[in-house]
Amino acid sequence: MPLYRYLPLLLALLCFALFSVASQWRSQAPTHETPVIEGRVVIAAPVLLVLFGGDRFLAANLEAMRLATTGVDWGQADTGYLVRAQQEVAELNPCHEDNYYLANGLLTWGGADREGSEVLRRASACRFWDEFPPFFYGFNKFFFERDVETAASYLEEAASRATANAAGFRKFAIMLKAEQIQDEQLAVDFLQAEHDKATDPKLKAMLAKRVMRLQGLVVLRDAQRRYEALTGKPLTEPGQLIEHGLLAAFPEDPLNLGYELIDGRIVLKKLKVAGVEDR
Amino acid sequence: MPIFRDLLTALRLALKAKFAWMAVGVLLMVALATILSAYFSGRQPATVALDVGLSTIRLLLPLLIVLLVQELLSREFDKRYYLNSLAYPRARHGLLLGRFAALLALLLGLLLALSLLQIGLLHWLGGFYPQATPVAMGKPYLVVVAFMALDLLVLAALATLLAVVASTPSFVLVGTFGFMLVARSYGAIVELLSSNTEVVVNAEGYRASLGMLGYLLPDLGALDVRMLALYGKWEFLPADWPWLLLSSLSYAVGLLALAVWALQRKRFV
Repeated sequence: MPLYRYLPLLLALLCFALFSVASQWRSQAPTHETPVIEGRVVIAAPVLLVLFGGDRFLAANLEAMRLATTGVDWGQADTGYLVRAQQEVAELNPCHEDNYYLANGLLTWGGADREGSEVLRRASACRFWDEFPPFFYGFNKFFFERDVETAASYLEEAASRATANAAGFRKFAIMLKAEQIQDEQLAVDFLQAEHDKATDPKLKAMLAKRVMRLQGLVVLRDAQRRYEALTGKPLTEPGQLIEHGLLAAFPEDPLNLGYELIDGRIVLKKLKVAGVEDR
Repeated sequence: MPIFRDLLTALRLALKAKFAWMAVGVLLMVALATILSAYFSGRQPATVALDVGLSTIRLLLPLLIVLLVQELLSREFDKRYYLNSLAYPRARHGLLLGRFAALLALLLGLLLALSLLQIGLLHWLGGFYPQATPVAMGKPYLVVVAFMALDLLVLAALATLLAVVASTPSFVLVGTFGFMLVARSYGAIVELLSSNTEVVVNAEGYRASLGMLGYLLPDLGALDVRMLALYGKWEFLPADWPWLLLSSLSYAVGLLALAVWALQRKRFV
């Protein structure tokens, strides 16, 4: 029997054997160390758009569902992920109501106020009839950044859109300008109201933690005021509050972020998110 | 009326290819997507339900277009039915236009059924939770559906042209979906890249070259005016909507004319 008839078969066997040896050798060779990826992957908005067949609304909806259902685990919000994911949703559909509401509840009061406010600013521009985004945005501008000018203008904007609350928003804007407001108590009241209105038990529990965090701030600032009235000197070291017997212990922060004293003012400590804190 | 007779034949062909079952499947999928997505929204269940429902329609109907065009046109050339259907002393364009009219009739009929279904579902879902901004299922919704119909018309004309010029039926699928993806997304990508510059190297140059596509493809993404119905505000209708309609409509008619021309010159072997 002539050998050349079997030549293709032999060639095939030889090639498969070669393939097998090469694969074995490859698997034994030391692999490069894969870089450790910290945090969850968030896909950029333009790429998401293509992945969802050119449908920006579908992309925004599914991403919002994903972050609402998976960004919150064991009652703890994954803020580092939410910060990035909510920005992308805000780019795809800035009008998305769930997105701005969650951003205000979880990001702004979870230590990432600038990122949360950015989502609110976009929502405020897109939802030109809705009074709540400019109100939340204005309030945050005042509370976190002491930017009274911007805060008042956004509150005026909210008042012009409002149906029932116009008088309240205007009054707030005027009080801001007069700088005679105890903002921490007001913030507790707002967050408490948001907590009471929430229907989802998980969201309710998380908002409750944020309310507790703010109540801690109320206690601290109250102690600071009494300290300064007592000694006539500004507070330089938080420990002085305990030394003077104004506080039995520092309040617990359920988010484990804590509080800090900056420029003679006790504020909520901000979350440090790699790459975004210095923007 | 030879075109009318062609239309009836094409309708019978589509029914023989189980169009009724496909339509029922699409209706079921859209209903499921609409109802289930409502459960994933905290503050605007009706809006998200309508939004996802519209997206499902916009993805499923192009698939249906492709399947129908493959059935009504590609198969005609593939299986050499033209030996019979084009053998009589008759104009070739009659066959094409008759089949296209049947495709359009089936498509718009299904779109009408889908929009009635959505109106019914949203009426029911809207009662779950009183939203601050309710969906507008009246005139704004009608406008949204009309714009969507125009989007589908462009895709149907393109699929028809591809079926005439392509040598394999699967090219109709690949070509139509590729066209759909690019035409629906380039406008939004150009807009998003202005703020998202880190996604590609040299975002400005990339934007400019993507913008060139505007002279080649109709902006199907701009035909998606669903914010009208989602938030009930007429301000979301683009200011240049008459030009948008005119450009898309003329593009569709142009594609169809090209298909007729290609069929007249097609050499069957």
